[in-house]
Amino acid sequence: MSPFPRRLWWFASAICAVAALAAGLLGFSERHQAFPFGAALVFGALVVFSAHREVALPQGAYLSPAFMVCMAAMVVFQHDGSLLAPLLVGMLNGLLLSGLTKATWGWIPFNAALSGLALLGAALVFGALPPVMRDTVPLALVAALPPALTDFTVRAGLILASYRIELGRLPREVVRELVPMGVQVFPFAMVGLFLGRLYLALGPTVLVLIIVPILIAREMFSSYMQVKQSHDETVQLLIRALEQKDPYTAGHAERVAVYAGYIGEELDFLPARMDRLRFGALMHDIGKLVVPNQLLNKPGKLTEEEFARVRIHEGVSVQMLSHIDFLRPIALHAHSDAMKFDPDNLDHPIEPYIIMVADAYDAMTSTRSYRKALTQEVAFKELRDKSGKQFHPACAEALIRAIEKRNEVHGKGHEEESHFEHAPEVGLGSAGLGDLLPDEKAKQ
Amino acid sequence: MSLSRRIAFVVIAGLVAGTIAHVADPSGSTGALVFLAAGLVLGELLVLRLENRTAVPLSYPVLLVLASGFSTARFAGAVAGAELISAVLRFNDRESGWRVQIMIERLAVAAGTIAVYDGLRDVTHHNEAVATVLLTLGAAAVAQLPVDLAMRWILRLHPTFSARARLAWLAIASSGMLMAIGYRGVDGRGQVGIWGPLLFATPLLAAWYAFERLDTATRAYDQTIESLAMAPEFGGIVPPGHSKRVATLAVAMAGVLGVSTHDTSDLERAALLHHLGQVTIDEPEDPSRPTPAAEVAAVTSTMLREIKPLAGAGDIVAGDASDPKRRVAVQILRIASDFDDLTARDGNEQSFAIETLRSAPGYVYDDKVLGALERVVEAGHLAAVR
Repeated sequence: MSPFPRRLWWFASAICAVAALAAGLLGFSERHQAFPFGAALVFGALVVFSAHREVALPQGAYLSPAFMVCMAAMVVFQHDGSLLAPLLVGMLNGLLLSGLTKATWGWIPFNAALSGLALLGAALVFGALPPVMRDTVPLALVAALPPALTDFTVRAGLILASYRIELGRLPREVVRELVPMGVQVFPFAMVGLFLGRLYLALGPTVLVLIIVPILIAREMFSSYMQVKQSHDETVQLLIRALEQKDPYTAGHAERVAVYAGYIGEELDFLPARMDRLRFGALMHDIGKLVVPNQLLNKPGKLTEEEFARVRIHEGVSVQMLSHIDFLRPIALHAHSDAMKFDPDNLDHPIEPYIIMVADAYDAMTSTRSYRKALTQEVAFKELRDKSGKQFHPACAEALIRAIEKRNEVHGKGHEEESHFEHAPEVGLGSAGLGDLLPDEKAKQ
Repeated sequence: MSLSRRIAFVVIAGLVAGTIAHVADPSGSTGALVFLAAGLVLGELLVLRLENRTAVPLSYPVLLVLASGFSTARFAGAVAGAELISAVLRFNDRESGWRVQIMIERLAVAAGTIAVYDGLRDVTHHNEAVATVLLTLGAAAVAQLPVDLAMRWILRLHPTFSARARLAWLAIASSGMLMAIGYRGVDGRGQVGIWGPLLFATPLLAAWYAFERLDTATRAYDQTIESLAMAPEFGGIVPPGHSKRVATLAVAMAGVLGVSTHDTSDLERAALLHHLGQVTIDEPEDPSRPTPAAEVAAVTSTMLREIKPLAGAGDIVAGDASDPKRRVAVQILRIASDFDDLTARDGNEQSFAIETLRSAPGYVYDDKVLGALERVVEAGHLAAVR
């Protein structure tokens, strides 16, 4: 949770005042009717509990049991004829206490007022619907839409205004971020509405029955995140092993992964594909583990025999990466011959091409044992010159575009660290990469 | 056919068949029965994946809806039809024997569900009090568990009741009860028909998605470690399959010695990666004088200890026996690795290898751990690895 911004004070105060005024007015108008204490207590506790147990879904969406519980509460309180209860229960939905510090407490009344007003709006709209729509299945399914939309609109409107005041962000940008939330609102509203009906018929047990699978989903997501983190950390083991064998590769795998990620973003890859691309890039040199250190770090030319031994690493990379299910589609094309652009092969996945471009760009813009880093201009020129022959044109252009867009400069004079201070300005080949001198290549 | 295509096929076919059935019998419940049968097939395709390639299908909650909403005959008809269709849709999943076993298991669970539900309804004289109905549904949901485990045990389908399995069963049972209540209501109250199971399956689908992600991530993680373990083998440092064999043997020995799940996991990783450090060491100039094992262990353990999730494995590879629990794991790894060297690398008989290990000085190998090795070898646990 970020500290509460001073710019938002007057706006937050106004929202809180409106919520307090609404609570006062409703309390006054409902003074002669019994307040549904039991239901308010059950739903209030459940809302606070479930607001702290969101489930992260793909595309940055969240499944929060709290919204479902709020919708169920709205149905129950509509039956009891109370509008004050949904306002209060809605306010409890804003009580996000996790990560709370002195600097962030200001968010509590703001979120509480915002959530309370949103649910009050939803309850007003739901109450205004014709009874036949609320009580008859399947019309009741449609009845979930107006209150859900009202809740979302009030919430989104206030968030929009707060972003405008605090950060000066354009409403269009914020709306684009909020739309995925809006899409998920309707199905959960339907579940909430029916849950409310079941509560009225059967009591609070039904709430437990729906909360249990959601909590279990959350538990599994936590485990998933832990495993994912362990996986990330374990890949570091490979990177460190490679760096111990061949000091030139320090930071190489990570940089290749970053550049590959840039290209993936430019090509609008989805998160799962980005993940695969990142791991593929981080692990693309895994086969080098089997190449003896003496060969990887040999400063001079390789003999035919040594060259053949070094080249084995590509086949080993393919075999080792193929062992990992989610990398197999790209692993089968991880051989340098297969990574060269082939316009006739339409079945070739694009990821190996991306990794090849990223790998080549980093090779050119970093200092190696046999030559200093080239400038970014030279590297871009090389990518463009060999685009369509060695490199996939779309990948090469995407990388150049992404780097220019970020105003990043790599290469000569812009390296973070170099292990080869005394490397010559111009070099001819890399023993570490299994390259031969041009005349040796010609013999091949 | 891919899973997504099979799901799409079942959804479309279910919608068409259900609509036709509803039109043909507008006042009856045949349409709902067909929709639920389609849901049963869908639930067979979507499973909550557990460890050891086992799973709990999402069809079990639908069984509860069918048991509570239809006569025994209609229940049996829907289940039989759905299971047959599911068997056909599993045509490219593993071998036919496995498919038959799964079908038998599912039919047994369905029989258990309806038997407990109908039995308790009779015992309670079809009482429609909320508590009675909930208890009956709860009992039928819980009954699915022992039947499923028993059938898996009989059919040798790896029964499991791990922590993850317990959560899966809890999600299945609670969702099944809610879906059943939504469909049938209680004493005419709260009934929302076919929309009930449809809507109240949402949290279960969220759980399914979470289980899927966890399973995929765990598999990728394990395979990455196995892939790294292959490096010394591809480099010709150790015989092919050494790491995997040592890991399998070590896990089996840990099972015999009652090592905890967490420590077994560390031990397995240690066994898979115990030679990894050797790939970073310069090749000896004289091939007849290989790098000393202690140096390999030291380099490997240093690398592993730098990585948080592998730090425990690093301690085991280092031979750190300061913690009594670790002492057992260290001994298991040493014995399993030496046993594999004697059998796979040197081509000795298993009995000779055990005899050789037994003849070493007492401080080298722990007698209890050697006993565990003997039990594992006698039980034939290594047959599958060799």
